[in-house]
Amino acid sequence: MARTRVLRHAGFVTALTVVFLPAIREAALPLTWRVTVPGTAGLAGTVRPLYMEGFVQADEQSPVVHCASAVSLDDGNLLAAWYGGSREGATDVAIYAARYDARTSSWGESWPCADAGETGRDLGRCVRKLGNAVLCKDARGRVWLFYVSISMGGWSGSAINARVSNDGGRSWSTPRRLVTSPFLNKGTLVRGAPFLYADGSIGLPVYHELFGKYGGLIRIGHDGSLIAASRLSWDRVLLQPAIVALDGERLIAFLRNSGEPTRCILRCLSADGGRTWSEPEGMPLPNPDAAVAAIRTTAGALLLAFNNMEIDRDDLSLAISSDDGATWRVVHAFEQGIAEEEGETRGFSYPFIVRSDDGIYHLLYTWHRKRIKHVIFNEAWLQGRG
Amino acid sequence: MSGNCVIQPYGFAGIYMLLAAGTVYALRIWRFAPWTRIAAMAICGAVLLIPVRGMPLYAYPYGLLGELSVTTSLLLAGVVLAALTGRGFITSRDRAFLFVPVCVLGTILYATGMSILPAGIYEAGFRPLWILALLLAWVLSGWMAGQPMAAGCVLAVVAAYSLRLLESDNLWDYLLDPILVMWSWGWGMTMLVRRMMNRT
Repeated sequence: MARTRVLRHAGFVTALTVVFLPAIREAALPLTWRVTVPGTAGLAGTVRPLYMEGFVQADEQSPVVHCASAVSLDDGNLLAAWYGGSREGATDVAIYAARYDARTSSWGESWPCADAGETGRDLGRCVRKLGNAVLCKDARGRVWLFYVSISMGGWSGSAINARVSNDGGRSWSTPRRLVTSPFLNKGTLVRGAPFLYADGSIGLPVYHELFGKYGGLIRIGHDGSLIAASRLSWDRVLLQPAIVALDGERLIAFLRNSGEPTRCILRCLSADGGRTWSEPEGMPLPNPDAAVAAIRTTAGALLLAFNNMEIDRDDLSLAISSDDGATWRVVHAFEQGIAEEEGETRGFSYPFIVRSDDGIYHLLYTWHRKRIKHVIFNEAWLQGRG
Repeated sequence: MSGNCVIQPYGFAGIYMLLAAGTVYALRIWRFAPWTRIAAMAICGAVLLIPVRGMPLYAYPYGLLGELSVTTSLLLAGVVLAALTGRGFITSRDRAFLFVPVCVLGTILYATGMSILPAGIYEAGFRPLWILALLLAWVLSGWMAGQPMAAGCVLAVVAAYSLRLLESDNLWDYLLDPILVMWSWGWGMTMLVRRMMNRT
């Protein structure tokens, strides 16, 4: 009897050790939160100011396009992705991609790289529609596409999927579902530009729309697994963080404000690589409940593309800060003022800035929800703006 | 961009367990013969694989619910086995031992998820050292209280997490899901009402 009891206890302790020890060992592994700050080596020195405007796709392929993102490829070209379809939230919305040839300064034909049907079949579940997409290049040169899918309901029913390309976006892996929310994995979306950590993992800014809006940051390992997450705020009105590394440890996040007018852009800071964040504080720049984009220049200043209005998205401007976001100066208006047209969604929104390896800035944004506009400028042009 | 729908084994199993547990439990209450319950289970599996608009039927609830937690799956398996064999594998004490912490932890987890409480509880599930310590204490207390089934359930949760059997990399998703937390709330309410009625 006593022997049986001893054996039972021994079996239990063995099971406990076998099960818990690997999990504890893995959870106790140290995780560094050091961020890779994009270098400036190899960039051309003083060159002539450059400023060019154009559109990503040659013609209007989808009645509605929105939410462009881009990444600089190893071959010096650019890859852009956005969603397009008959309308926002329609079941025919697909994620499209196109390549920009830096030598000829022109965009190639766009191609669909994800649709709802294919995503659903690959994930083995019903997916009714797709939404926001962002691109990222990892430390190994692979391109990642993170995009939103919805099985039921509106944006608050979103979940994030990830696909990887080893050939600059020509072909993609099957999607992997990222689990980011305790509510049946619903309510998480992407918008802001991802960045890299020193260990090669990807920092992906996300936001939640179920039971209140708030920003977050998730870290994705080489194999696509989620290795850490943090939350930017406890408010219910701040979303779509645009995160920029000030140095290896300090990050600044700019947040869209969906609170009551009058609204301003909010920012919060992290001193530990995004593990914890300060309380959001208002900035002296307005926000009409619209996404913003930010990037650090090669000279160390911060650039912010934003709608310089409190209500509408008729103005898209560029502001610069030389003191890590403490003060801002509006240096340029890319778009200003549009005529209202009955029954049409107009305006300039969802900016996304990326710097290619040759130091040129590429700004993409939604142009009247009909096209994706592409603006190119360089450091010399910026300096000329005072 | 075309092809066949990929069947996700754990996703299918979760939806199947949910449907099968509900069906066989109802048949047991209505006193149907045991063989009808076995037949019903087979029918449930077949129904969920019927293609509807290019996808098996299970893919629709799976799209909505995602993967069920390991705890929910084990409890549903307990319901199915009890309905088939007439023997309760998970006792009411086991259930209480599981449901009380699930109710408390689930409420805290979802309150923080809704920004009601300012704490990153879900985020901690990606580096779950303190949650593992909590589960270790839970398993030990279950074993010492003579609840090997309940302790085994929690052990299975941690084992499944270590093996990453689900899509999630977050320990909370192995332990809890909204269905389980609602189930535990329902159980808690029933216990409360029963106790109040016994008093009167």
